Formats: sequence, C-alpha cells, structure tokens
Amino acid sequence: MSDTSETILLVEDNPSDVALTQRALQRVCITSRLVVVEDGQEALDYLFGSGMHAGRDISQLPGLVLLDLKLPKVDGLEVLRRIRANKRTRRLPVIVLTSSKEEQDVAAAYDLGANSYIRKQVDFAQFDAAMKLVGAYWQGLNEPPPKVRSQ
Amino acid sequence: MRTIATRFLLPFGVVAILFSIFIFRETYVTSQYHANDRIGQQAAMAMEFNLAIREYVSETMHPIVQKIVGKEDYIPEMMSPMFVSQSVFEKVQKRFPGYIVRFISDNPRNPANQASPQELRAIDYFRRNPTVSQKTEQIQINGQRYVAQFKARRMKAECLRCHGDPKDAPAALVKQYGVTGGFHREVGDVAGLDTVAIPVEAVVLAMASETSWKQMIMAMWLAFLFGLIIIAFHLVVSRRLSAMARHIREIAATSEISRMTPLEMDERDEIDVLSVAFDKLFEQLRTMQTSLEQRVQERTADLARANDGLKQEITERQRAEEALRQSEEKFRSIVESSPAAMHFYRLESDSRLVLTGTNPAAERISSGGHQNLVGKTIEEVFPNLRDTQVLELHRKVARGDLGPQAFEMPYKDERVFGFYDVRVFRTGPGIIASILVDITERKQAEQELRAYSHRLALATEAAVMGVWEWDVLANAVTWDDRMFEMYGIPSTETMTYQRWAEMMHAEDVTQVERQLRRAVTEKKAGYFNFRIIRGNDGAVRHIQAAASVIADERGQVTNVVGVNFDITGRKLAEEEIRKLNTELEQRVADRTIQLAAANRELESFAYSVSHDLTAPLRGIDGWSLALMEDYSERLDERARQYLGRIRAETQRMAQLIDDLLKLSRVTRAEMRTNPVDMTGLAESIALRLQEDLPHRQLEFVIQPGLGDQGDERLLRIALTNLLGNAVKFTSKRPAARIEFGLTHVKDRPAYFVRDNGAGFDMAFAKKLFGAFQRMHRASEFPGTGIGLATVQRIIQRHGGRIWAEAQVNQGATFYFTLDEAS
Repeated sequence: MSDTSETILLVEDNPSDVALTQRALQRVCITSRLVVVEDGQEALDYLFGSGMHAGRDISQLPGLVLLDLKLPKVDGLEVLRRIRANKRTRRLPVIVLTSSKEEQDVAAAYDLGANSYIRKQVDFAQFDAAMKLVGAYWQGLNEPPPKVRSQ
Repeated sequence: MRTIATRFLLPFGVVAILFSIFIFRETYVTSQYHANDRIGQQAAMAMEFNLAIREYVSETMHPIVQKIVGKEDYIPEMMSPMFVSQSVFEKVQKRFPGYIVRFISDNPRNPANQASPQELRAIDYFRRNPTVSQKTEQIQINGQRYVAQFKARRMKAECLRCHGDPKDAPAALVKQYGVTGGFHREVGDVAGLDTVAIPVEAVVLAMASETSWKQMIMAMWLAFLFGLIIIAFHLVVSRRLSAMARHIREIAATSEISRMTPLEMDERDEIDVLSVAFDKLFEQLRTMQTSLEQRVQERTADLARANDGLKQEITERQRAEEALRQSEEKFRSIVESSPAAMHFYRLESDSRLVLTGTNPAAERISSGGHQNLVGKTIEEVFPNLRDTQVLELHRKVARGDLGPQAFEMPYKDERVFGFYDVRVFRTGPGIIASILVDITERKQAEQELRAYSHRLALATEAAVMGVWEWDVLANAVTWDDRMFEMYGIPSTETMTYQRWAEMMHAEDVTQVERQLRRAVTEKKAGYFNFRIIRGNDGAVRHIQAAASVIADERGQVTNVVGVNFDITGRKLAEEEIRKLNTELEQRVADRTIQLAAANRELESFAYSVSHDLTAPLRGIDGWSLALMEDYSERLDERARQYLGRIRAETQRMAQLIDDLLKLSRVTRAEMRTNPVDMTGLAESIALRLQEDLPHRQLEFVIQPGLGDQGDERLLRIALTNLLGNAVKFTSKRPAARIEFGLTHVKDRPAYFVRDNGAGFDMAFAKKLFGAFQRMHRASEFPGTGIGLATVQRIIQRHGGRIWAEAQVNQGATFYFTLDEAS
C-alpha cells in the first residue's frame, strides 16, 4: 500500500475540469496519486468508508482534499462541515477549489475551517500556475497535520 | 401802747453810752502806752548822750590831757569819762528832777557808784547772758515808778591797764582811788552798768492834761451824732409808720374787710399792725384769686362746650356738603361718561323745546357736534323729526301730560345717522332729559343674524343636516324638520332626550351617553358616531353627530346644540374601501413573497451563472491551451493564432460574466448604512491602484477630512470603479493627475472625481451609465461597459445622483451626491 498521505482527493463533478486538473498536476510533476470523486456524497463515502466505498480502510486518509463547492447531491460546504465535524478527519487539509467568487462562499468556507480558498481561473495558464503553487506548497513546504489517534 | 420809737431808741441809747465808755477807756490806755513809749525814748536818748560824752572823754580828751600832764599824772575831771558824764548829768538833773543817769558797778572806785539791789540783779542777768548788752524794765525807787534802761559794759584788753592789776595802773590813779575799787577785772567781764532811769508820773501827768481836752471834744461830737440819728429816725421811719398804723386802726375800727379785732390793735407797734393788716389783706386776696380762678375755669369749660357744639355742627355741615358734592360729582361723571347720548330741554312759555345742554356722548353720535346747538329748538337739533309724533311726545312729557317714554327709532340727517333707543323723562317742571342709545350695531347684528339663520337653514337643508337643541334644565329637545325626516318619525311628535335615546341602536347607547356627559362636564364640543333604528322602516342608519355646549355666566350648562348627519352612505363606501384595501394589502404581500422568491431565484441564477457558465469557458480555454501545447508541431501559425483568438474571447466572456455578477450583487446586496471615512476610503483605493500599476506616474489629490453616511462596502466598489476609470483613461498621459474631493454644485454638496485623461464627447453623456455602453474602442481602452452602471446603481441605492462633465482629450469629471433627500 502506498502512503495515503501521498494521495490527493479531488472532489469535482465536471469531467473537463477533472481532466484539466489532472493534466495540470501532472505537468507540475506532482507525483501523488489523484483520487477523483464526482459528488459530495461520494466524497463523504470515500472518507468515512460508506456507500460505494464501504469497506475501504478508512484509516488511510488523503494528504490533501481539493474540494469544489457546487456539487451534485451534497454540496462542498456540507462536505467540509462533515469533515470538520468528525474527530478523525477534522485536521485534514482541505483546499476549496471553485469558480465561485461570491463573498458569502469564501466567508462560509473559511468559517467552516477551509485551509485555503483558490479560485479556478478561466485562463488556464493561471490555473496551471495555481496548481503548481498548490503542489509545491502543500506537499513540499507544508508540514502535514499529525494523525488523530483512533480511540 | 408802745411805739417803734420807744422800742428802738432805748436800746440804741444804751449801746451809745457803752460805746462811749469803751472809746474813753481805749483812749486812756493808748495814752499810757504813749507815755511809756516816750519815757523809753527819752531814756534811750539820755543813754546815748551819756555814752557819747564818755566816748569823747576817753578817745579825745584823755589822750590829750595825758600828754599835757605826763604819763603818771591823772586828772579825773578831765580824764575820767565817768566823772565827766556824771558831772554833765548832775547838771541836767537839776533841770529835770527825778531823772537818774549814772554808771554803777558791783566794785566801784567811787562808792557813790555802788549798785542798788535792782542793778545787781541786772548785772547778774548780763553775766548769765553774755550776748545781751541792753535791757529796759520798770523799777520802783523810793515808791516811785521808773522806766530804767541798763547797758552792760564789758572789759576790753586796753582797759586792763587801769582796771586789771593795780601795779600796772597809773600811780596817780592808785593814789586817788586805792588798789581795791575798780581793779582786778578780766577781759569780757561785766564791769558795770550804764543806767538811765526816768520817773513815769511826771511824763504821764504832762500827757494827761493834753488827753482830757481831746476826750472832751470827742464826747461832744458823739452826743451831736446820736442826736442827729434820733431826729432822722423819727422823721424818716417812726413818724410815717405811726401815721400808717393810725390809718389802719381807723380802717379796722370802721371796715369789715380787715376783720381785725380792736384787741389785736392794742399792745402792738406799728409794724405788727401793718404786718397783721398785710396778712389779712393777703388772705383776702388769695381767697378772691381762688374764686376768680374757679370762675375762669367754669367760663372756659362753658366756652369749650360751646366750641365743641359749633365744631360738630360745622363738621356735619361739611359732611353734608361733601356728600352733596360727591353725589353731584357722581351724577355729573355718570352723565359725562355715559355711552348714551343725553339731551336736556326746557319747555319755553311759547311751547318751544330749547336745548339746554348735552353730554360728550351726544357729541359723539353726531358728526357735526351738538354743543353749538345749545339754545336751539328741538326742531333745529333734529330737523328730520319736524312734524313727527316724536317731537309731540317730547312736549307732552315736558308738560307732564305723559310719564317717561321709551321707543326705538331710526334717524338720519347730515349730522346724525343710526338707529336709536330713545328714553324721554321729566326731571323738573318743563325740563326733560332725552337719552339716545345707539343701537345701530345691534340692529345690524339682528339683521345679520336673520340673514345668517336663513343661510344656515339653506345650508342644513342642502347638506341634509339635522339641527337639534337640548334645553338641559327643562329637558326639552327641539328638532328641525330634517331631524324628523332623518329619524323617520312625524314632525308632530314631541321630542325628549329619552325618546331620542330609545331610537338609538342598543349597542351604542352607553358609549354615546358617556361621550355626551363628558362634553357637558368639560364644556367642550363633542363628536359622536352612532346607529339608529329608523322609525318608518326600521332600517339601521349611521349617524354622525356634533354637540356644542352652552353655559351661562356662572358656568352652568344650559343648552346643548348640535347637528346630525346621516352618514350611512359614506359608511358603506368606507366599508367598501376598507375591503378593497385589505385585498390590496394581501396582494402586495403575495407579490412581495413572489418577489422575494424571484429574488432568491435570481440569486441562485447568478450563483449558477458564476459557477456553471465559467466552467465551460475554463474548459474551452484549457483545451485550447492543451491543443496549442500538445499539438503545436502539427498546427501552423494561423491555427495557433485562431486558438489564441478563442482564448482571448473566452477571457472576455469570463470578464463579462464577472462584471455582470458584480452589478447583480450591487443590486441585491443589503444596505448597511454607517459613518464612512470618504477620504480614507479614497486614499486606500488610490494606494492599491498605484501598487497594481507601479510603472504608471499617478498623482492623486485627495481632499482630507471628508466623511459621510453610507454602505462602506458599496461605496468602496463605486469609488474603485471611478478612480480605476480615471487611471485607465489617463493611461495615454505621461503624468496622470486624479482628484477626489467635495465641491458645491447649485448650492448642494457633491463629491467629484476629476482626471486629465481622454475625456469623452458630451453628446453621448446620456449613454454613459447604461450597462454595456462604451465611449471608447476596446483597442484603445479595454472594458466591459458595466463599471459605471454599477457605480450609478450604488449611488442610486444611497439616494444620490451621478453625472459627468467632460471634453474629448480634456479630461472628465464625475460628480455624485449621497442621500439627496437629506
């Protein structure tokens, strides 16, 4: 088993965005494994080992979550709230990656404990640059949070 | 009876005799003193002669004779002072027998000079008192009195030759006198006494003869003086007093006034008689004075009483006069100040009524005045009354044919115009007063009231308004016809408060009665609404009533008057309106809910737009870029250009969406009004703009100290747009100057943002604030044309206004105000 801290969980419903994100991450030489879930419910299932991800070793948490806000089923802010509400996942670094520039979204994300809020620029060159910085920062520079010991 | 003369002269005679004896005795004693004095003087003189003679012998004769006879010889007749003086005085004694002048000693040379016992006592005295050398005393010699003067002779040193040791003495001396007598003396010892004695009798006798003459003459003088005094006393005092006493006695004998008893007259001298008479007289006088004083007092009291009566009479008269004067004054002032015009006439014998006087009010009612008419007849005073009943009436009253008259009359001539209440009455025979009260105003008021009542009746009829009046005390209610119509009962019915209350809707009675009671209590007008059950058809009618309370001068409510309106029609209309209003409100509420839903929908739409519309754009851009990067060797230059175009348009589309969202947010955002530091806001924006464009030379001039009320977040967006535009449109200038401040436009404060940039043509100014409206080509100045629309939306949301002034290439100025309403 590879170290799950190397895993990046991308929560994104738009396949084009998924592909472009993957491309961008590859281009900036991020070696981490990219797990993609397409809606909020799946993201929660993945993290808490339920639903379609039932039976997954949930002790293996991703090193970083890239979370879109506008998602089918359960929206991004609710996902974030659940992550922070759970003792085990509450330290998980979560970066909100969205095209919304609404102030209320930014405020809500930070209120719920997002570690960062990055806007998806239409200009893909800028998106590329942003991804590069994210990878460098969160996987190189940033000290990952200690794991929460279960029980 | 004794007389004053006997009583006075007897003692006086005795005193005079005693006085004479005293004088004679004094004269005698004095003459004795004089005699002694003279004897003393004679003795002293004899002594001095004696001494002088001896001095001469011892000092002058003795030395000369001694020279002549030789030292041892001694001739006493010439050389002894004692001998010589003795000899001289022996001769003197022959002329003045009795006179004794001699020198004696206790141890004399001549035994004749042996001292008598009296003289020895004197020597003894001198020896005991060495400082005393002279002494005078009276002595008895052979039964005769003498005055003797003794002078002590004390031994001196030069005398010792003849009086000391006899061996030293001249031989002749010793031979003559022996060695005993006169020797063995010592210096200072009393050798002997010079004695002069003169017999007193001889001198006294000589003097006595002289004195008796003097005494005789004095006695004669005294007798003469006493005689004179007695005669003078008799003439001056005694005789007159006797005469007065005699007269008083005569009066006493005849008159009762004196009340002197004859007994009292006897055995009294004149002065007693006089004094008794005087006492009696004085007593009588005092009695008389007392009675006089009493009479004076009685008289004074009488006078005072008379005076008081007089005074009272005068005061009463004055009071009566004052009362009369005041009464007159009162009536005069009543007449003078009376608002009623008064004319006074006198009926002459030719039955003319002549004006005798007027009061000021009479002057006032006539334009020309009546004063100058005094003396004229009543026809001349009121020319237009000539030949009317009025004048005849005046005459009849003056004659006494009629009592006081009262009537009203209109009158008009060139002097007087008006309607008058006239009173005519007689004040004396042939004298009348005519009082005219101007009631023109009252008459006019009555006329106006009639007109007003008429108009009111018309008005109430036209307004379908019922009028009612309630006499509270009599509990009588008066209705007009309209009221009866309104309540649907015949106008023949008698109305009372109770009847009215019965017709009222049962639910309204309590409230209306309470309101009415309050109006009466507070004496204020009241307005009530109530329902009645109409009498003729039983229909419920809505009545609006007004009541006005009338109170008498004591504040007692006497009447309540008011009106009634049938407002049933209005009530129904109001009901209708209220129903419509409720419906309308409901509709508004429904619409508001719909609008809120729409707004929410719009928000959700905007959110979707921001998210879902940009996602494909990002895809287009991303895949275009991927195509360019991954297949660049297979694409020619033109294909790459096309891809570039696709990406540029995508960016532009994204920008448009972004700006539209901003505009939508500005419209939707909730306003939070707070104090805003406009200067600080502008400065922070300017700083950020300069930081974003470090290569640009930007000069910001921002007025300090500006503050206002507004939503800071929205104002920041607006100012960012305005200042950002200014920066953008000055990009072709080497030095941009951008100003922000507050100025006054048409006396109203307005903020402005001014630049020295490209400006614009004012012909297009109207389009300036429309969305997607642009003044410049995108190639010159990029932009979506939404910024100023956003600014305008923000300013409008603040209740302000925005406008711009510009010239092409001359820069532009944007003005805006906040909250124009204030």
